[in-house]
Order: sequence, then C-alpha cells, then structure tokens
Amino acid sequence: MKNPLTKRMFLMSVLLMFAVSAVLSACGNSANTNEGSNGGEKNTGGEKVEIVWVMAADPDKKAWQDAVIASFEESHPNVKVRLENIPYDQFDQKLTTLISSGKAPDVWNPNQADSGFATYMKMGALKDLTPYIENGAPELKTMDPNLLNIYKIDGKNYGIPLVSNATYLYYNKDLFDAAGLPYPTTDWDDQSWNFDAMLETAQKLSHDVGDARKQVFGFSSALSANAMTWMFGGDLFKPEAYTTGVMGEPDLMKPINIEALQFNVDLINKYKVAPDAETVAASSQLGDPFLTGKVGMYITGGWGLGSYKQAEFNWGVAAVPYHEGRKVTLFVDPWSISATSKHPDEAWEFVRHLADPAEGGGAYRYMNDVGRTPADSSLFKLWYEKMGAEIGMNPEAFKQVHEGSIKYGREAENHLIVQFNTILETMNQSLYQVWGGKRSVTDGLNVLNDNLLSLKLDH
Amino acid sequence: MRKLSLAMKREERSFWVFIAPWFIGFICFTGGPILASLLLSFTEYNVISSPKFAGISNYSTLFGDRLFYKSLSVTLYYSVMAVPFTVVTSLIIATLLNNKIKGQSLLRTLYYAPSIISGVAVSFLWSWLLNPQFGVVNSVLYDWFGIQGPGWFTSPDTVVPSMVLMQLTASGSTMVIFLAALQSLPKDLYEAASLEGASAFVKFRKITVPLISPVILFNTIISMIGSLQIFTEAYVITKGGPDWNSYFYVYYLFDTAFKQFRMGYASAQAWILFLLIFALTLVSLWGSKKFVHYEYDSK
Repeated sequence: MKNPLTKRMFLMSVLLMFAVSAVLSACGNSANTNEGSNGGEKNTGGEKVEIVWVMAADPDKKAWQDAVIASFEESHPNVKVRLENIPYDQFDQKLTTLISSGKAPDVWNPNQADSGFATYMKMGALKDLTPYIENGAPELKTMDPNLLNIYKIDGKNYGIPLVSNATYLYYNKDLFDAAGLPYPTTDWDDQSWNFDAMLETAQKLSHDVGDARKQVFGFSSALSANAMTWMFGGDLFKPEAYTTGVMGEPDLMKPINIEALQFNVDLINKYKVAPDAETVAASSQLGDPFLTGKVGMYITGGWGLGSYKQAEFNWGVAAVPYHEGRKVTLFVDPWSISATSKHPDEAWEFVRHLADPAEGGGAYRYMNDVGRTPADSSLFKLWYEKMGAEIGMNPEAFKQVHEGSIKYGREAENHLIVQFNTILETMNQSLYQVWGGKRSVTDGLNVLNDNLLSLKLDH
Repeated sequence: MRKLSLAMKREERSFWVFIAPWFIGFICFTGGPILASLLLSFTEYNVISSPKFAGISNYSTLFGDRLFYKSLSVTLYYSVMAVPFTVVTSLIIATLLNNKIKGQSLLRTLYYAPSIISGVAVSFLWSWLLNPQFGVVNSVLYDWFGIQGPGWFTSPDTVVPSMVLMQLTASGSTMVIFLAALQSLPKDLYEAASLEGASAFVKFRKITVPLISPVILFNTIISMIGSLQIFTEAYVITKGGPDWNSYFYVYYLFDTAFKQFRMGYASAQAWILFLLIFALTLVSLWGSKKFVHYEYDSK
C-alpha cells in the first residue's frame, strides 16, 4: 500500500514544483528584460532607470503629458518616464491592485481617485517628501505656503500642489441676454447678491419646466450636500474631522444645515427652478448639465473653465451668492511619490520638473497648455490674462472672481477625510428621497446619520 | 496481478499528466484564492500592510451593518423577480424557436446573439434605451400613446424591475439549453396526444413541462445563482442608486474591497454569500423532488 502512496506524493510534489517554477520563471523573465535595457545604456554613465507616472485618462492632457516627459528625459538622460493613463472610475481599483502587488507607480496624484489623498496617506502609500524639500527645491519658492501646508500632515509633506481649482458660479450669457437680465456680480463681497437674489434671477430664467424638450432651469449645481451647507456657513461634520482625517460622529442636525438643504430642496420642488434628481440622473448621461445649454446658473469647480470651452453658447463666471459664513470648496491636487518607490530620487526630480513654474516647466505648461488653475503664485497673472481672453471677460474681473473664491474657500473634504468617497456615496444615496420631496430634510438627515454611523469607518 | 497494477499505475500517471493543466490552473487561480479569502475573512487587511488577525469580528460587524441587510434584501427582491422572468421568457422563446418555420436558424442566432456581447456594453445600451428623457422607449410611449413613461433606472421604485427587464438580452444560454431539451423530446407522446384531441396548450402543460422538468430545475438554479451575483448592471448604470435600491450584495462587496480597501470584511461578505447560495441550491434540489420527473432521462 505504501508504495503507490509515496508515488502519488512524488507526483504531487513534481506538479507543485512545476507550478512554482512557472511562477519563478515569469518573474525571472521580467527581471531579464530589465537587465537587457540597462545593459544597452551603460555609456550614459549611471544606470538608466524607469519611473512610472500614473494619471487619470483625459485627452485634454495628452499633449502636455508628452511634452513634459520629452523635456524631462532630455534634461535627465538616465531616466525614462513611462506614462500610464487609467480611466477615472477605475483609478482606485487599479491603484489598490498595483500597490498591493508591489508595483505602485512612482509619481501620481492621489486626488484623481474617488477616495483621495487622505485615504492613501492613511494607508501608508505615500512617501514623506520633507527631506527632499529641505534639500532645496527652487521650483517651490513661489508656491503659496498655505497650499503646501494642505498636504503637510504632522509636520511632514506628502504632496506638492499642482493645481488649485476653485469654485465659481458659471452662467450662460445667452440665456441671461434672452431674458434681458444683467450678469451676476464678480464681487464676492457684494452682499446684495445673496441666495434670495439668486432665486429671483433663477425664476426669471426658468421656463417650461416639466417638458423635457423645452425646459430651461435657472439654477443647478454639482455640489455635495456637505458643500451646500458650507455655502450657508454650515457643515455636516465636526471641525476635527478635517484635521484628524477621521469622520467621527457627524454633526448633521445644526439648524443652518437644515436651512441650507431645505433651500436646495425648495429650488427643485417649490420654486421649480432646478432639475430634480431624476432629471439630473437622466441628463448626466449626456455629460455635464451646464453644457446642455438648458441651465442658466451652475455652481461647480474650476475644471469647468477648461471643459466648458466646447460649449455652443457664451458663458462667464461670477461670485457664488453671499451668505454669512459662506465657504466654497477648493480642490488643490498634489503630486505624490509612492512610499514603496524603488527610485524615489529620480521620482522627486520628475516631481520638481512637474512643479516647475518657469516657461517650459511642467506647471507652466499645465497652466498654459491645459488651462488648469495653477498652484504656483508666479503663474497667476499669466493665467488671468489667458482665461479672460478665452472666456471673453476682463482679466481684472476674472481675477476678482478667482481671488474671491480663494478668500472664501476651504479645502475639499475628500482630500482631508479618509474614505470620503464612501461617505459621499452614503450621503447621495440617503438624501435622494429628500431631493425628490418624498422625505423631509430632517428625516433624511436622520437616515443619513444612522447610515454613516453604520459604516464603521474608524477601523 | 502485478502486470495489471503496473498498467494501473501507468494510467494513474497519465491521468495526473493530463489533468495537470486544469489542476495547476485551479490551484493557482481558483482554489488558492478561495482558501486565501477564507483565511482573510478572519483578518483586517487593507492591502498595503499585512493582514492582522481579527477573529470573527468581521462577521459580527457584518450582522450589525445596515447596508448588509439593505443589499441583501435588494438582491433577494431582484432574484425573486428575475429568476421566474428569465426561466419563463426563455422557455417561451425556446418553444417558439422550436417550431419548424422558415428562417428558424437565423432567428435562433438572433435571439442568442446578445449573450455573446459584454455585459457592460449591453448595460450601456439599456441605459440609453430606458433613459427617461432621451431614451427611445419613453419617446415612443409619449409620441405614440401620450403616456409619460416611468423613470426606469432613475426612480427608486422602478430600478429593480428595469434590471429584471434587462434579462431579456441576457438569457440566451438559458434559452439554448431549453431548446436542446425540447429537441430531444420523443415524438410518439405528442402524436398519441394529438390522436386523443389534446390542444397545443394541454400538450405543453402535460407532456413538455413534465418531461423537461429536470432542465427547468437546472436553469432555475443556474439563474438563481447568477441573479444573486448581479453586479455589472448596477456598476455601469446606477452605481447602486437611487436611494440604495440597486445596491446589490456583490456591488456592496466590491465597494468594501476596492473602494474602502477592507479586504477582510469583503471576504467575510463573500463567504456569507457563498453559504447563502449553497443553502438555497440545496433547498431547491430538495424541495423540487416532488415536481421534477427523471423517468424519461433514466429510462
């Protein structure tokens, strides 16, 4: 009896060896190819290393990406940059897989995912960049220290700002002209431009609401429920949530929160100047609601400056209506380096190149070629002029809108609170019936409270 | 005796050699991960740092999780509607396609065709068809009949029924299995019934259904398993909304694993689902004994 059993054991172990050797040879192959490419470049002095740069795919950025890589490889002949563009909605999933399999990209922007900086930071995926900054980085001299501080956690820098999108009120000039209305103000301190004034304007702009083919809405927004409360001076979370990164007990039931949300519900159901949730869901399939040309005023982030260029109507930007304690969202995105990067020094050189505001540098080109809001102060003057010309606004007026937004701005929640994507999802789902008018704001917030606490995010 | 055992040994060796590709594939890509997920379900694991043993805390948290119950009830609601819908519609279509008419094979191909298209593409297609504002379906309803169509995927009440409707383009393989079963039925029974003057419906109910009952059971179980794992539709079209009404079990599992990075918790969710499917399958097999006739197959 013993003999066949040992035979079987033998066969099993042979098979196991097959499996193991198959895996090992797969690893060996990739190691070999690396060695091959190293060998060929010996003459340039040091060994040629490859760093991986990951971004969320965006066709608008392609030319800029190619130019930045070309100029960097020219000045750093021993480094090769491999660019990987990942579709936005797969970013988190792909990044987790890469990180867990030990293939984390060297340079990336953690805010390009739904989950955001705080989540990856807490996970330990990001490298402390403080020693590099202290070693000297002339590119960062003209960077506003307040921006650098956003990604400074416990005295350590984990990110170098690349873009500082603000929040504006975009308006459709053609719809305003057709209704014979003056354009909204660019002055954020003009207290006569408050939410009542905005509602009045929206009522004059709206018509045929309910008829899917003709309807025009005076107002809509891409704001989260939390950002809506910010605009009224409220907040769904406690101040420490933003500093510790842990949501903790939410603070939903403040009267000002209820007032802010009720105002937005009334815009939909009582005054009928804003699209309901079903209309938003249906039209989002076509893309951005503002781009449909059926929305008079729309509050969203600074990326609209780039994406609304393709609009078939004239538009402008203005101040978000005044309210005591008003805050709007700023979206400052950083470049980060993975904690497990095998070539952190080269990656840092590349980050410096990306952050370089001098003409031809990465940050300059990002502002100039892609049109995104620069993070570096030295680029603002150029950017105001460029944007003013593109939108058809006086650069001074545009500057006023942008500076007002910065003045009344605060950093986006998903960059600061861990797993905010889950919190946001919970918020959107739990309040859906509130926007439909089928559940009162207070009831909706109660449901939201239970759901948020049930998430057990503090694991 | 020795010779025979030598031959047996040789055969055994050949067996292992021939089975090896599948066996290695199973160990590496299915068996290993299954075992790993069982172990991980007793840990806290955020993908970056190594797993920490957590006892049964994942399971106990799960049973206090509101979303767990919500996702489970939404999934069961979907399953209860989708399984009968799939089985009945594909049986009806298979019966029709079994008729000897012109263009029969073309029709069969047409009805099976959607099954070979990726679920993501089909989901996009449906989301456009059923878009309440710009979709073909609601436009036709409004222009031809003056009816204001429902919100389909955008309304909490109609989102699950809309997804059940989507099964029309996903039940090709169920239909083909029915078709194969229908074609193997003996002609003599039908001839005898015709002589007795039985109508087509009576023949269907008294002959066809009993004879293919094992196939009905098989298709029911397969589509039940598939329906409990529904994911693509919610991921592509609704992102689990509105108001959690398409927040299916596997969608929630995906969310905890790949958005919240709680692999241990997600593994626990996966094992609960496995046990649920296993139990429901056993119940179906056991409960169907009275209704399923095997005599024809085992004649």
